[in-house]
Amino acid sequence: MIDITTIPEESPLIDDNLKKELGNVFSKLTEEVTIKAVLDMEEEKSQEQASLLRCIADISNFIKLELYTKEEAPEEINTDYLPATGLYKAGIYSGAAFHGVPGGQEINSFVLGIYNLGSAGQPLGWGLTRKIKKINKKVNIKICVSLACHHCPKVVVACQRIAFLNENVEAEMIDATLYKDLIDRYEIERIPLMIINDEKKVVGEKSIEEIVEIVKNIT
Amino acid sequence: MSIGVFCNLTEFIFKHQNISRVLEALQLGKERCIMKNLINMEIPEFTAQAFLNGGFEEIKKEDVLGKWGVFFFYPADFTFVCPTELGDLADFYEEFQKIGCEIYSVSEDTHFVHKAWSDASDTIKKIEYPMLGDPAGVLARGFGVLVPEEGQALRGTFIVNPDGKIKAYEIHDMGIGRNAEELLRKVQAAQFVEEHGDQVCPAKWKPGEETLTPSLDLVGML
Repeated sequence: MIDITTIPEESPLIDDNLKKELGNVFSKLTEEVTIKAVLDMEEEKSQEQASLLRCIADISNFIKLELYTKEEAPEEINTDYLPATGLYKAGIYSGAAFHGVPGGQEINSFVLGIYNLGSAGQPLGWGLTRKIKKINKKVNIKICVSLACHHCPKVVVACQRIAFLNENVEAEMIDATLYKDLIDRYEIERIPLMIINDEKKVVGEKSIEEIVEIVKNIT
Repeated sequence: MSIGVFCNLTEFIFKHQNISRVLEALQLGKERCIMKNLINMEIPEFTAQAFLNGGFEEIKKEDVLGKWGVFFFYPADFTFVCPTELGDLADFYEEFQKIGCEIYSVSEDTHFVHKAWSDASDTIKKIEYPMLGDPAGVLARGFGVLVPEEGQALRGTFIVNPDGKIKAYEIHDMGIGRNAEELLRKVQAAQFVEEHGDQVCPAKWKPGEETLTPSLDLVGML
């Protein structure tokens, strides 16, 4: 594991105002959330992510942080795209991961991810919860975003809420601007783009209800 | 009836008429001042004779439905700017076909005049899309591009979805030409939005794009 004390305490991405706002959000946490990040400390983006995470973890006692090199990465985390960050509760991977640095608009999905996992979370109707729990096949959703896209976090949050409720579902945010091979492989031109089970592509902002329907119809 | 009641009655009718005239004038004024747009309006019913592949064919509204279409109005055959525009469109016709979009050029000439023009002009000869004749002005009036005193249509371009609804359009005054490549882009964009919705961002990939400053906005979400 990477020694956290070697990481700068302050992140250039988080100023005092934002720290205060995050404090307000995280004061609603009732359960411990562990952030496990796999980093390549030679790379600039991993360094950015390390200080961002340390700064966030320092805001609330309910947020724990563990940093890993690629060699010692927890096996459930997809390390194809580093930095890779997974959210855990009670030692169990929640299915929510972030590839890249969740700055820009994506700070919203990252913060809501922690909030939804470590508290009662955003309310969700009983019928929809039941539908989500009934998903009985493995579904991996990669949500390709850019940090400037204001539609993107809504899709990330929706997919990750589904993942929190059903262990068959994994939802990975990917800042596609960082990984050129991904752009070429999936011919990405518009975002948000959901790539479901590495095959089906769905472009555009979709509600959680719409995503549940799409996932249900995956064969 | 007493004279008094009669007077009151005439006064009432007079006043009432005046009021209706004032209301009418206000209404007219309103209609003149407030511009309306045609987005999502359905195209009018029509039956037109078209010049197509060297022959003539009847084309009705029903024939147009079920696929994307572009109605391309121009003032008249045998004029100067038109062949350039129509030729430009002919050059891109294959691209429009590839994306499942038909082109219908329309002028206030008959289909016989279209044929005569095609026989006389090399530019027009290469056109493979249907050229609709609209001598009675049904289409031009329906799309709002008819200039009645001249019996010609303004340069209007209308992108119509498979349900016959107008999704994008532009209307130019007589001399201002249009660009087929831009029209192709617009049709592609309209098709994209129809398929995926309008809530997307273009992915402007710039390797090494800086991490943006976080902009937290969770108002009403917690």
